[in-house]
Amino acid sequence: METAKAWLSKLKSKDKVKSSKKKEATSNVKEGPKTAGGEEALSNITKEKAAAAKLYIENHYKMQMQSLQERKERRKMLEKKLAAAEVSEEEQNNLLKDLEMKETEYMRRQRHKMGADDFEPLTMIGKGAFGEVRICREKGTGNVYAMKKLKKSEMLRRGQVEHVKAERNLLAEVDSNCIVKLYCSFQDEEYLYLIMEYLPGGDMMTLLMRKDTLTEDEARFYIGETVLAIESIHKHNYIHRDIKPDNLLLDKDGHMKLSDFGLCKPLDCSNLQEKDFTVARNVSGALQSDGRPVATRRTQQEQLLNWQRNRRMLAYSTVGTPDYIAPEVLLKKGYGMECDWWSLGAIMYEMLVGFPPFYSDDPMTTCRKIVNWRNYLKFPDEVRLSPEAKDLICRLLCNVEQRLGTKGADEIKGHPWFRGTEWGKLYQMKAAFIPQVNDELDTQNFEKFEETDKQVPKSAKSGPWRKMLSSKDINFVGYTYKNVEIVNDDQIPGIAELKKKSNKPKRPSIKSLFEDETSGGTTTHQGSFLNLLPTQIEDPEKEGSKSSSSG
Amino acid sequence: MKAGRYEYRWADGTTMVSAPEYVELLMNWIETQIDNEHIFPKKTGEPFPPNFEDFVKRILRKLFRVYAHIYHSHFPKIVTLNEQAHLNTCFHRYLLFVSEFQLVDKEEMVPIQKLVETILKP
Repeated sequence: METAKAWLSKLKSKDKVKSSKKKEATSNVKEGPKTAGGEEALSNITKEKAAAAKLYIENHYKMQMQSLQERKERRKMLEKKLAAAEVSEEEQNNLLKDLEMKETEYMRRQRHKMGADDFEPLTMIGKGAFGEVRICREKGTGNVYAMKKLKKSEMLRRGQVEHVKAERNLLAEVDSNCIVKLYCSFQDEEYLYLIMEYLPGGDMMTLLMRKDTLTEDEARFYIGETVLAIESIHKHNYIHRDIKPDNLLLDKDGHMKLSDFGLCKPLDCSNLQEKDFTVARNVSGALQSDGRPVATRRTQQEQLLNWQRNRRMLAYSTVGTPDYIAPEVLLKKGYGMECDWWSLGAIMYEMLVGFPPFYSDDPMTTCRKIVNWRNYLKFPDEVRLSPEAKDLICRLLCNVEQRLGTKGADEIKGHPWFRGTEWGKLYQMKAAFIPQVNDELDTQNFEKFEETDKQVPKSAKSGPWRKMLSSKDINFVGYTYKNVEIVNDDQIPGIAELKKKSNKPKRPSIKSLFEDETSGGTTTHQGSFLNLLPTQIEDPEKEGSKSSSSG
Repeated sequence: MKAGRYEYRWADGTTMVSAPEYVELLMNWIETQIDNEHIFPKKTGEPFPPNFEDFVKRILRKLFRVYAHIYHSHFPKIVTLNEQAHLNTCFHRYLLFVSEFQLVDKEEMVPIQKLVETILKP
């Protein structure tokens, strides 16, 4: 190490001499202080590129070490099970070689660079300020996904970079029934792309528009699944901040999954200030003293219809609704995970009443109502709710300190309104409503979006991938992600055996090779490997061909 | 492109180019090699070519020249940018890899021989 330092210092001094020589040569050939100045001072572009290179290198080695560690763990786990299963040495070697082959295949697939050209864009199903969501089909496999496309420049302009990275990190990390699956993410010069699971059942917003209100049993099902989803992301230290019916997607069986972490529609309340709320309070007092003139009152039905009309307009716009956002988020005074439970309360209110609790014709008034929720949280007289339902809503739409869920999801799960709910079986039971889905490309459960700009998207692959590492892309280093479905290789008989034992739907990944087995408590380790033996014994020809192929 | 007293030319010595040009040409060429599915197959079960090792050796031999150029011509600048740890880590790993599998001849490493020997010394 010391000798290395000595060598580097020698190189340093040597380079100094060389650079001085070079300077003389330069001055001889060209006359101009510009060149000399350029050599001495490092330009901002150079500094930015160096910073980007550092980030790239650090991320590269971090990912590499992580992959290596995971591979070692998989092998160690397999060896452990083989030792416990009392399998013959020959069979052990075969299984280990099989794992090695799968690991090699996995690495090979990782080398493929995903790009927008690998997908055929189809119907648009969502739109926001930062981009759009569209069904797409992977050209190689024919699989159907939802492609979320986010404009980089908009991310940077609106300060959403950290939010987008957090979303990508969460989706890559969380493997849950309650969260939409992320298959891969990549970028080009203009856009970030997320290739996600397509859920053809539509979203909760569309369902509520169709149903007006839900019964308490129906609402309990969806609120329950939302509780599990929020609990899931909170366990990964992620705060959603913008949970609303549009972000609660339904799969083809009607089960709910949380989505749209990064396609926030920015609120149109940027000029909100504290004094606005003071004014609102005075107005509120005035209204109360007036005794609320009958002329200004609307029936529940009128409010519901008006809300639905406004909601439909909002869905097509690129401006978000503040109706479900917690007061502490609006006030921008710092917030924690409990802000998501407020949103849950607002959604529950809408499911049972027909419109959000602080609904108003314009967003600014809605924000004022939310911040002054004590004066505005009321239930229409026509509404018949159980005392438990009202109580739960009031415990969610309240101060942070008193809000249910601040100490964890169990506070909510334990509420009387959820009495009798089997939390572990919500995703196995029949959904409250089963959406009509005709085929995998069916979008009838989504709003129709006009293709306003029908210009053909130009090819994203312009020039080598390497060139995309420019200064502006410092923010998006580490964005690319792949989740290879290596377990779907049905040709390997061992894999088929493992897959059959898996009774619950699970994201295919190399991890699930071992997790499937551990999750099934009834299956013993010995039994699982003993089941493999008859297959080998019963197929002597196969065994023969295997040995010949290996030779 | 120079590395001390040594000069590298593009196209096996026929074309003299500046260092930025050389690096640009080299990186483009390497990307072409890696994207070539006949050399680096991506599909399941597709075999590597019999002379795969030759392709790898050629890539790594040329990559060494970039390291040599950076260490000889730009190391003080790298230090100013506080990037020497990153550079050394990459080169260290590169060197251990090519040494383990004997992918670059020792004659090729003469321009920064002392640094190489220091890293490889057991």
